[in-house]
Amino acid sequence: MNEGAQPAGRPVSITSAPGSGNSASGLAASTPAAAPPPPPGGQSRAHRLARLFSSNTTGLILLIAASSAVFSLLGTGYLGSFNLFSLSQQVAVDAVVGFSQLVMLAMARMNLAVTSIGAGVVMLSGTLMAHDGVPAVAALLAGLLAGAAVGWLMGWIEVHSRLSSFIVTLAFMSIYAGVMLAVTHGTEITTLPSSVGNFATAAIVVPQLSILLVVAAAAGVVLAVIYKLTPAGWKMLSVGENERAARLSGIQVSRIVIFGYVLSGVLAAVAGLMTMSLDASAIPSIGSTWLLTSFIGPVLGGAALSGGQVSVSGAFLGIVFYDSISSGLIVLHVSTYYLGLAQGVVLLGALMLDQLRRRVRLREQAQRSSLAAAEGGR
Amino acid sequence: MTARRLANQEATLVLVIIIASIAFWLTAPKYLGSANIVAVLTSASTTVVIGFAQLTCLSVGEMSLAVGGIGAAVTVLGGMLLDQDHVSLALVAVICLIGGLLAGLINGLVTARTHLSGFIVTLATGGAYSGLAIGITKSNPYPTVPPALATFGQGQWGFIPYLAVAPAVCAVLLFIFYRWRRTGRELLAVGGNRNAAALAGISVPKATIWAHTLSGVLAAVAAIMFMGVLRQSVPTIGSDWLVSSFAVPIIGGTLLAGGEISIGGAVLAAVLLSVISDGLVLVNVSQYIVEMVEGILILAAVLADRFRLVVRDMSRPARQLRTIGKATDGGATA
Repeated sequence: MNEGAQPAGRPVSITSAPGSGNSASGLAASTPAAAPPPPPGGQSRAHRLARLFSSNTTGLILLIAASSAVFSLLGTGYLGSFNLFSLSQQVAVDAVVGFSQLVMLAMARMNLAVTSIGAGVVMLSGTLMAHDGVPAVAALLAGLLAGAAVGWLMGWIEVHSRLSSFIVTLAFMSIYAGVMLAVTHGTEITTLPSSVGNFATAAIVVPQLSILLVVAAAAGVVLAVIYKLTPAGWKMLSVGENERAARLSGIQVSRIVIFGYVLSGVLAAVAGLMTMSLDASAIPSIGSTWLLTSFIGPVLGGAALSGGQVSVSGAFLGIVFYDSISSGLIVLHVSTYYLGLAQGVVLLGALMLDQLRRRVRLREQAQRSSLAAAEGGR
Repeated sequence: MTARRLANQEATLVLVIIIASIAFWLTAPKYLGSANIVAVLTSASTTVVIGFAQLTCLSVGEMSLAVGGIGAAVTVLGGMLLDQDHVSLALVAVICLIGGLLAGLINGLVTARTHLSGFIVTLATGGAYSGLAIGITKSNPYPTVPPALATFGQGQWGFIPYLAVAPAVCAVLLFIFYRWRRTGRELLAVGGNRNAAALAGISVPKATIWAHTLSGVLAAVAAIMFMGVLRQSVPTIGSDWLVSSFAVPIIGGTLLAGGEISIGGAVLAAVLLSVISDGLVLVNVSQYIVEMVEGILILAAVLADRFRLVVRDMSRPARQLRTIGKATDGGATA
């Protein structure tokens, strides 16, 4: 819609705001026809404030701070080390679950099979450890490999059938779950080596932080490096942004999509194995709420469902916010039965807020694009 | 072209149902016993209504992950009302349908207003609805339903369970709606090509709201049916509706991308799913394998559809090929 406005707006804004190429005075410069621009100083301060709140990271940090303040004032023990420790465990697992979805969202795809992959990997790894006497490390590695393999299979099928990721992963969600249940008969394994269970109870640096956070942070750093520094990262993003354009510019879309599926599968496997350590047993019904959780982090963190955008740190903060709400509700003695409701409401509220913010940003972008005609508003 | 594609799909489904039935009958003769046929039809009846609840959303190119959530919330609403002695069953049913309608309306309004995808909106609201159901009841079922509802859920005429009335009525109404009503045609037009429909003066938000609202009502119908079948109001109902809600329309030939629906196909798909899961249990295959069947059938159905297109494309001029590809390729971007 700004296509039409660009040619007219461009010369005006360039003359009215010389030398301020980027964001700050774009707002001032870009309403050429309607009103004369207000003085640049005040405008840019208001603008900076608006930017502060329209940034996901800052907004989430503020939300986390505010909700923590409320919970620690209203309830007792929210900031106690026991509560914070279990919160950090939960955050670590959910963050990796979110990363698994984030990888798919970046490619404008989704993975509905995260739950099934997590549970399947846990049961495989648990069986190897407890019943087949495989050393724990080897069994964990086997679990990761299995995650990669099931991710690869879905990716291969998507690429070769050209079906949507939704339908492929929906089908595999029940296929993987069915295979796992048929093999294990739904019985949990409680006789894991003690090292597995002990791992999740260890703390790092301070007693409030679980060692699982290290795993989550490592996964996050790997993802951030992939997206910021490697060709595979920007290829995944460009496939998400515009698949046709990516194909035409010589990216081997099939290969990069399959890579994304493998990455997502491995991350789901990691999340599963972390849960196994947390439970100190292999439970076939783990991850029953993962589907919702997996979208919450990335979406709160500002990933677009339409692909092409990721924020690893945003996804992490999104999960911190979301889990701190759940944990706060427990501190306030809200029945755990209401957590599902809270989950849904938080996601819905965040979505609507995000939509508002996006509208602000779109307006901003439209104005900036009248400065630089090359930048079309999305 | 469309009609031919759907006729193909339906013929294939009938064929597969017959083959599967014969195979099960040969392995386990009691498969064709009247008790088992009633069981298959009962499960098909509930499944098809769940599928219809998704089909209305798919028709405009939306999807709803809240079908199960609405089912759970309506079940709890019904259970609460039936707990009061003086409320009549008919009134409860009407209130339940209205409850489903409102829940669907909320989905539609939020989706249409925020321009977010229905997927993410209903992921959130569906979580909220089922969370509400669990929260109110602490996961405990309401243990009794009135005898009339129990009879509806478990009675039969010969081979036909009373329950089959509900999907039959829904199917006829949906058929009339989509074939002859202006709004129904508009829904399909929006599903087929959103921009073209908008340019032709059709209100896309209105179509979106209609689709989600219908979906809510149908989810409520499914919830009431389950209250009769299970003879109690179980708040965790609907937690396993997700896959079947998509499996039924998609196996039946409805396009995920919207614009093309098959009501007959959905009915056949539900029958097929019930035949296979019932048959597998009867021939003593692990009941857990049944979980896989839906997934495999979804893949098989969409792959077969793809394959048929490819085969047909090979015998057509290149120009037409491209249009066909465009018409069906929308599914590649969910």
